[in-house]
Amino acid sequence: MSVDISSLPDKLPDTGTIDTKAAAVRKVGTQSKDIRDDVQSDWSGLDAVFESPHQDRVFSAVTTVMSPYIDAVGTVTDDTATALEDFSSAISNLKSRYDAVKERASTHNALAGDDRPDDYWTTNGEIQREINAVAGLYDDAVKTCAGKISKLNPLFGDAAKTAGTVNGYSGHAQHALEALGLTASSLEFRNGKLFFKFNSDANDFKAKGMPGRFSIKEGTLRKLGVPNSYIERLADSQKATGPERVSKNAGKTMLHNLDPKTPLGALVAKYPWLKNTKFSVHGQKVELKVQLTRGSGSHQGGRHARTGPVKLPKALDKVNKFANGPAGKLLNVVGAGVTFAGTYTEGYNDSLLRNPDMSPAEHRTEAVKDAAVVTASEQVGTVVGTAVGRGVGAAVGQAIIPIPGVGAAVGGFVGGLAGGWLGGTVGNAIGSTINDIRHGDIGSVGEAVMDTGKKVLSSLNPFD
Amino acid sequence: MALDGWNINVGTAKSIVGKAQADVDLLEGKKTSLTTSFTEAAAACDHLEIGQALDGLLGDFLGPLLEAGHNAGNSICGNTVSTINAYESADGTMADDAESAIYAIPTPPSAKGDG
Repeated sequence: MSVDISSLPDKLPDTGTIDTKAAAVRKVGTQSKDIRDDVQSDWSGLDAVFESPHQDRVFSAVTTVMSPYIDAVGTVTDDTATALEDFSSAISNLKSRYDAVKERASTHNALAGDDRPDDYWTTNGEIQREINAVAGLYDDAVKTCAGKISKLNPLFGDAAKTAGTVNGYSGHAQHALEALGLTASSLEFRNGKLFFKFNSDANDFKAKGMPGRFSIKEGTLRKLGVPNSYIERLADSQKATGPERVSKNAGKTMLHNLDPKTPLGALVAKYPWLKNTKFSVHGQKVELKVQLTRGSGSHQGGRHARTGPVKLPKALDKVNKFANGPAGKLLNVVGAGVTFAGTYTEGYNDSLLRNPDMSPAEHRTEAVKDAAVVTASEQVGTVVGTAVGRGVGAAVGQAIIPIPGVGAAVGGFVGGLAGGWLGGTVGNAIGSTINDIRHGDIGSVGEAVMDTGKKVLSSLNPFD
Repeated sequence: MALDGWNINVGTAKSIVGKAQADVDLLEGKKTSLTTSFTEAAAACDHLEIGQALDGLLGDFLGPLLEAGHNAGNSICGNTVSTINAYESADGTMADDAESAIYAIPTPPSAKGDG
């Protein structure tokens, strides 16, 4: 038996190379800021040759529109470089101990039985403890560095990405949630997926004016594509005498067997996690659990996954954390940080939902495109991208969560997450509106989006 | 030009914006530099965990941030050129076009309602 050096890295990284590469990272930021300064310098020449009633808007454009992003690039690259240099420094401090213990272990392990001194096993223990200590310090240095870098990334982690989806809609979600008193008790994160839970006997909505009774609008459910057999079972569950319970399995079976040519069928085909909805009705007693997000693919349940009740305020707070972080300090000067973070997150997740076959790079491109649209539009801001989704989502939410108020709110919330998820499926008006947005004609469609959303909601709302 | 409140030296203004646009275009090269520097930094650290953190930061946030800065620069230059062109055209719709071109320049939320 000899000392085990497997916990040590084969070799330590070269600190000189790390420092050089850290400097290169920082240089990208400083050079980007230099370019911005040159643009600013060029732009200042307009003062003497450009006079208009709104000239100040032109003169200040570089400072107010372009600078926040470039300043943030400078800050984040600088902080990244510092994290790398701190790692290099930690490795440098460790190197002599690492070299010494490896050499000592090598010598010790080479001793044959007859050559071993009396204190061989005592020494064996000492060396092993030193190896473990050095390995621990190395691991700490790695984790510290990776942690510092990840903290600069507002979308870090698979679960964080899901939470980031919530973040992107914090404004809309917060209003909807506050209005209905939806709290963390109605939401749950499990294996990287976000669920909404409802029980008619015990829920947050009873104290918030939730209607005491509901009735089924069979015609609207048919329009959505809910099979007649299921509608009949729902109707039977409402009978004054001897109502028959519609089980969770019945709902699940219904969702799995929908015609994909119908609106609801198209919805669950595109977002198959909705098929996991568990819904039972017995008279006015309703229980349901809806899977609101896909989760994080192959990484679900991984080390970043969260379990247990979601801490909604904490999730919604992430935007503020970002705004107060190193990047946000600069971005927040003009209030653009939250807008960008929210819009980019929104665009990324929109793309994920709309184009599941795209590569991560393509999703990023779509997200940047969306963020650029918002950046270039002062009238509509971040609202436009979600307005369609909220309107349509509210309607569909009422189909999957057929409880007045709750379905609309949660559906709208989910619709906001999906951001126009039905596309052209539910009515050409919605599809063309989304296309209008995608083609950048957002200045004129803001109100139309809201109106269209309301009309769709009104026409599809399956309950009184 | 006889429009109240408007007076643009078209040639000089276009030249200035053209120079600014040329500088903005330099940001394109920084996108490549950013990717290269992060890739090489990850290789230098020689550890998966740090590499993943760098990759995530670059792809999720820093790359799009630089892209947004570039797009913002393009937007400013493009819309200002449109403003100058509208002024230069000096037809009956000049004022409206110029106004709308100016308002196409993005404004940060904090400045909303100021102008």
